[in-house]
Amino acid sequence: MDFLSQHIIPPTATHLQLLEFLAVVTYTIHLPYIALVIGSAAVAMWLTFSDHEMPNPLFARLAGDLIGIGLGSGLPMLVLGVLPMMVLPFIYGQWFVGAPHFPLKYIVLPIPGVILGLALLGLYRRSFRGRAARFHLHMALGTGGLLVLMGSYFALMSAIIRLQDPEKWFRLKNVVILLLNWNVIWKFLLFVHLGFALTGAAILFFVLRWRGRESVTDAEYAAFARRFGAGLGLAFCFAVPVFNLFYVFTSPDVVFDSTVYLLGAAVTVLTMIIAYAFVAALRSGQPRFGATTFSLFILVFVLSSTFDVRSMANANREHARLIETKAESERLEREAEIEAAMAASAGRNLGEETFNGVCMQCHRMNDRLVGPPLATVLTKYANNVDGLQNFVLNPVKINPEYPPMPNPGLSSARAKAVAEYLLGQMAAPADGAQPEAQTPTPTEVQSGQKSH
Amino acid sequence: MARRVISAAIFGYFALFAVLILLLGFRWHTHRKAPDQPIAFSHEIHVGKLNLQCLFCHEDADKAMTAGVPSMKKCMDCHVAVKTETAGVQQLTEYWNNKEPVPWNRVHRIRIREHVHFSHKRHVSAGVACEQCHGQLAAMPRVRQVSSLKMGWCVSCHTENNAPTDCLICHR
Repeated sequence: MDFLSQHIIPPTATHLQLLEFLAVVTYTIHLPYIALVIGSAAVAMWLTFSDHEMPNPLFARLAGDLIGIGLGSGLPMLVLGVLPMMVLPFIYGQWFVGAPHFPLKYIVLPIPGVILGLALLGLYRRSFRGRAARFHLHMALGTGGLLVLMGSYFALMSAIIRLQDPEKWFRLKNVVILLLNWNVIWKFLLFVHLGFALTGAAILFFVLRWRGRESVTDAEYAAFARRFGAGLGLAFCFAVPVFNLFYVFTSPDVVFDSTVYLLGAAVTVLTMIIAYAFVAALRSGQPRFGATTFSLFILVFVLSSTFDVRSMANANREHARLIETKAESERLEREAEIEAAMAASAGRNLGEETFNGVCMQCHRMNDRLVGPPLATVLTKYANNVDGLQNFVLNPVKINPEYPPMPNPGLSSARAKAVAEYLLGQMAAPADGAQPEAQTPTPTEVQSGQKSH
Repeated sequence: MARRVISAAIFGYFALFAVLILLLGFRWHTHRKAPDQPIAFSHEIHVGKLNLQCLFCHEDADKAMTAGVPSMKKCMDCHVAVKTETAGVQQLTEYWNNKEPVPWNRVHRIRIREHVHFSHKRHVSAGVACEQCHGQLAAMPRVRQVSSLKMGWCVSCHTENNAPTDCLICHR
C-alpha cells in the first residue's frame, strides 16, 4: 500500500474521488454478474429438481439455458467475477490509508470463499449433461457452491457495508458483531432479490432475444420462457422496494446527504419502471422487453452502488480531510524547499523573514509576550541547529508558566533557516542586530501569518 | 379496466416506498448535525494544524467527570496577541472585555439522567483515546456528535475492552 500511495495513486482529495469512481465501476461490472450467478443457479436447481421429480422437458431446457447464461464459461467468471473482486481491497486500502481500526482484513478474508463457491458452481455447470446418472452429485455441487458463494458474499458485503459506520470499527474484533447487523442483512436480501429479478430479465433477454434469433423456434418453449422470466422478475421486483427502504432506514445517519436519499428513492422508481416492463412482457404475446428490463437492471445496480460508495465517502469525510491536509502540507514542503533555494541564490535571509513574520507573533528576544523571552531559552541550543529545528517543527510544552507552543506549520527548510538565524543572533549579540528591534513590515507579517 | 387497476396498484405500491425514503430525509435534517456556534472556532486548525493536545484546552478531562468547555482565559492566553485581526478572535475579545461567557451551543445533545454516571477522568486515565468517542476532531472545522452515546454503545465498548459491565458501574 505504501508503494501505491507514494508512486501510483498518492492519496489526495482528487484521487479519493477517482477511487470512488473506480469503486462504482467495479461494482457495476461485478455485482450484476454475482447477482445473476446466484439467481440463475438457484432457479436452475429448482427447475432441475422439479424435472427430476416430475419430468418436464420445458423445465430441463430452461434450466440448461439458465446455467449457460449465469454460469457461462470460465472467462466471464474470471473477468466479471474474480478480477473485480480482487480490485476492491486495493481501492479501499488506498481510500482508508492510515485510518485507525480500518477493517481491511474482513474485505480480504471472504474472497477465497467467493472463488471456491464460483468454482463449485462451475463444476455444477459441467455436471449438468450427466445429471441423469449422477443426480445427487450434480445437486450437491450446485447446493454447496450456492451456499459457499452466498455465505462468503454475505461476509464480504458485511465488511464493505461496515465501512459506512466507522464509529463501530473498534467493535469489529468479533466476527459475529461484523455479521449480525440489520443494515447488512437488509442489504444482502436486497441484493439477492435483485439477483432473482435480474435472472427473470436475463431469461427474456438472453434466451428469447439473444439466442432466440437462432435457436428458439419452438413456440411452446418461447411462451413458457417468456411467462416464467417475466413472472419471476415481476414477483421479485415487488420485494425490492421493501428491502431498499429497510436498508436506507437502518443505514447510520452519518452516511446521508440529500443525494443519498435521492439515489435510494431512484432505485425504487427504476424498479417500478422495470415492473411495468415485466407486466407488458406478460401481456404481450411476443418475446419483447428483454433488452429494456436487463439494461434498466444494470442501471439499478449503478444507482445502488453509487448509493453505497457515496455513503462510505460521507461517513468518512473527516478521514478524507486528513488525507487532503497531509497532501497539502507535503506540497507546501516541496515549494518551501524551492523557495529556500531561491532565497539563498538571491541573497535574502529566509530565517530573518520567517522570524519576523511568524515567530514574532508570540516571541521577543528579551521580553515575555505569549511565549518566553528567546534569550532565556536559546542558550541550551547553542551549536545545535538540528535540535532547535526539531523543536520548532514539533514543539512540546516545557515551562509550565507558559502555554504550549503550537506547531507554527513551518516547512523543514524554513525551520532550519530560522534556527540558524536565531542561533547566529545569539552567537553574535555584539553586532547590534537585535531581532526584537526589527519591526516586521505589514507584508512580511501577512506572509508569515499565511504560512503560520 | 383491469389493466388500469393493475397499473395504478403497481404505481401506488412503488410510489409509497419511494415517498417513504424521501420522508426519511427529514430525519437526517434533524439528527446529529454539527450545530452552529457563535464563534467559528475550528478544531481543524487548533488540533490538526497547530497540534494542540486535547488536554491543553479541555484540562479537566483527566481530572473530573466532565471534560468541560475551556475557560475564556485559556483562549485569551494566546489570542491576546495571536491572530487578533481575525473576526473570530475579535468576537472572542469582545466577549472577554464585556466579561460575558461565549454562548456555545451544545454538541452532544443527549438527555442527562441523574442516575447515569459517566466520568471522563476514568476513561482518559484508562487510556481511551479522545478520538475513539469524539471522532477525527483534527479534521472537523465544526464539531459534530460522532458516537451515539447510547447504552448499547457503552456496553459493547466495555465488553470489547474487558472493562467492567456491572450495572452499578454507571447506574447509581
